[in-house]
Amino acid sequence: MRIRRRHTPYILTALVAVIFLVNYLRSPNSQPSDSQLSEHVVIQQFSQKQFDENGILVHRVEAATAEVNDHQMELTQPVLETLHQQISWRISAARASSQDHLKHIQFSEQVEIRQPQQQALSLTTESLSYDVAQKRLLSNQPVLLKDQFDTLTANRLMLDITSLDIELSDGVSGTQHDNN
Amino acid sequence: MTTINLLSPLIVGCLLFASTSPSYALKSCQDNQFSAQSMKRSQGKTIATGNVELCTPEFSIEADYLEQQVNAQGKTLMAKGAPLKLYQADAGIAASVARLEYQSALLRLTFYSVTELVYQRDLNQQIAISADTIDYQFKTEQTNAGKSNIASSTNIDSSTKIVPSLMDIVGSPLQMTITQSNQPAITLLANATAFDFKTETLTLSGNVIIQQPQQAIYADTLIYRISDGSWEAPSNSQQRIKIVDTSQVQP
Repeated sequence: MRIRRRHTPYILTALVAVIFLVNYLRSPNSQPSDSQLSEHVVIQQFSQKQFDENGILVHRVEAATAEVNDHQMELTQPVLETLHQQISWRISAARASSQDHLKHIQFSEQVEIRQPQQQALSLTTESLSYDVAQKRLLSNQPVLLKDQFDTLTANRLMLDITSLDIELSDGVSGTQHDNN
Repeated sequence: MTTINLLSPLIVGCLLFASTSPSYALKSCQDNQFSAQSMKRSQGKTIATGNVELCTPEFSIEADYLEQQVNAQGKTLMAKGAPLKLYQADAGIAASVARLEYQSALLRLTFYSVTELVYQRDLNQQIAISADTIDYQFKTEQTNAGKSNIASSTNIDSSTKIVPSLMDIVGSPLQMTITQSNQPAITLLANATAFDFKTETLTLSGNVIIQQPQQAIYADTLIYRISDGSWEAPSNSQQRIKIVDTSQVQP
């Protein structure tokens, strides 16, 4: 079989292409990975602490388990403690979830907010969202508020931890305690 | 038949009070019941809005807006409504006003733009007042085993009774209508009145007019006794009192 001289460049180009393809397939980086296994993590006794620029602890999130799947995080028995102007707030629940690395947390089932220092405030509800950056709590479920002044129920809650403003709406009722 | 005749003033009185005061008037609460559409607590102040109802041992109110503040001196309260309604069952007072302020330490209520304040003196007699402002002072009396003592604190429980003390009424003019069962109404007009509940006297001042069924009395200052409808000029007053017979004017 005679190879014509004019076909030689095409044959060489094809051989080089085959060599590159074989090398690419053999390289470790090109190995296909199992993404489901690598990004699904379960952590027992989860704990995360966040400090401000002065090294002071501002947030601490703890949970019996944390199940991380891509950006989704599911917590069981979560407890969040946040500190603002030396006043500590504690939020606990049966479950919590976050889709943005705990920047916003949705607490659910037996949610309890406690602020023991001022007025011994406690709030209980079944669902609560917390904007960690804004330090703002919001609930659209029935809420029970108890402190030294009031025992009140409402169907909506907004609590601003930075200003200590509490807003109850959509039907507020209960009793007020005279402490004067 | 005799029993019915004896009871008829009582029945009329009950009906009269019921007609002027809603059933809520008879309600008083020992545990400060509260309800509203929404409530905001900010910087030590609690603001409630929308169908606000507050029922306390001292009084109950229905308002559109209620602002409460607690400090070392006690609780202060400001409420507004269109109209705001206040009931004080023990004292027999029902008021319809635009705004009120309350200081718990002083047991003092101040009413503004008073459309009507009804004081049910007893089952037979009531006084309806319309005025610009009413500064109302009341007190508590502790009733233990039939004995009555003036309570010094503001802690009010089931054995405590609210007793009206004084009202300073200002209007332009203020009007007081005294109605008694089976009797024509008496109307009092003045610029200011001091109502002493203990002596049951009204000290009327400024363009005073007492309109009785048979006569009208005009004066600068008069003292009117609610118990018997008598009146007199203060002993030190140098004034001209004009009495007009209105019996002939009546059709």
